[in-house]
This record gives sequence, structure tokens and C-alpha cells, in this order.
Amino acid sequence: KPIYDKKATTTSELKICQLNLNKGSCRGKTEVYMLCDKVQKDDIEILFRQGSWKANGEFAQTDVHRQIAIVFKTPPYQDQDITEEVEVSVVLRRVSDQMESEPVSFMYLPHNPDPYEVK
Amino acid sequence: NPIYDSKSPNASNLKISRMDKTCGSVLGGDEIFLLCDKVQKDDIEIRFYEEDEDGCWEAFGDFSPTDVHKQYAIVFKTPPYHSAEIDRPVTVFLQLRRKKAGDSSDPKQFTYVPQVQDKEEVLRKKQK
Repeated sequence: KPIYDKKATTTSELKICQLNLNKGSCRGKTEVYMLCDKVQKDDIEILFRQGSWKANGEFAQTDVHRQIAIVFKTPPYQDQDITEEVEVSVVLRRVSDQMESEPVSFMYLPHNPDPYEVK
Repeated sequence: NPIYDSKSPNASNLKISRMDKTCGSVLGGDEIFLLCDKVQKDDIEIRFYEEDEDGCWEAFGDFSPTDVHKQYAIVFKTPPYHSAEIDRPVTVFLQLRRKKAGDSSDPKQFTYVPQVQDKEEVLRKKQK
């Protein structure tokens, strides 16, 4: 059995501690602040997933703050015509060894171009 | 000249890097995620303030030591502005400040927006 250095960011467990938002438009581009345990800015991705669909949260290495926070934009949901909220999961994944954090939930909201229902 | 240990968190410069919101209700209570340089969870405060010819106002962001994440982020709630009766947005400043040493970060702006009032009330005030 291999022995892991729990303090090393190359092998440590990944954990999402808190998101400032847990819902956003199905069109994506919602800015989200994530607080997490230590990550390596060049070896981390944020995955949105539901069934066979998956997409990456969008950020640059400069959006990773001191290894413990990431400011990213949500990806667009696969279906732009949802009429009800859809729940997906969000995980942190280390690119090098594909290790994942426990998932947290995120809700995609319908895009409503006609909020006053004029049509 | 004093010599500071720049690696020590209580001697390094305070800095606000990023905030998820820069405006909120005049009544306070808005949750803000603030990313910063290294702070000590039990020796840091978030000071909102305003300085003008009428005098000074200050109030403090509401958080506990457990809301300080790994020394580099703080989740806090905004304090209410001193007057809930504002007709238009008011911009104030906030800064990180160490309680013991009293030193502070460069300020960032924060804008208090009026409560949503009914439109007739707004019109009536405008006509005055």
C-alpha cells in the first residue's frame, strides 16, 4: 500500500468547502467563488456533471488565490431550453492523477428572455 | 527603522485582493466573500468607513474566526449604513485592519443601495 503525504498538494485529498452561489443561469458565465483545501493552480479543474454530461468551470491560473480559493465561471448547461431548475454536481479534480473531491450541488435555472410574459 | 519579518503574518502587509460583491443593501446583512493576503483569524477586522465634512462614520463587517478560511479568505456580512433613509446609492470604503497593531490595508469601495421603495414614494421625493 502506498504511503501518501497528506500535506503535499500533489497527493492530498481535495475538498470543496464553500461556494458563494449554488445556482445560476443555464447559459453559464455565472461568476462563482469557491473556497477549498489546498490545490495546485496548474493541476486542478472544476467539473460540472450530470449523468453522461460534463463540462468544465472556466478559470485561469491567476484566478486561483493562494491555493485555497478559485474564482471561476460556470459552463453553459447542455440544454438551454430547460423550463425548471436542474440539479448538477460540481467536483474538484486533480488533472495529474484524476483524483476527485466529494461533489457539491449546483442548480441551473431556466433562461427566461421574456420575464414579464408579454408574448 | 524597525526591521519586520515579512514572513510573519502579523508583520506582513494587509491586502484585499478580490471581493465577490462591491454593493449591497443599505440595511446591511449581505454576505461577501473576500480574498486577501495572509491574516490571523483572531486578529483581523473589516472596517467600513466614511469621511466627509460632516464627520466620520465607521462600522465593522460581521464574522467569527471560523469564517476566516485558511488565512487567505474571509466570509462576512456587511454592517448596516448609519442611515437607512438614502435616496440614491452611497459609496463608502472598507479596509482590513489588525486589531492589535492597528495597521490597515488599502481601502476598497463599497456602495450601499437604497431599499426598494414603492415608486410613488420615490416620485414624491423627486418632486420636492
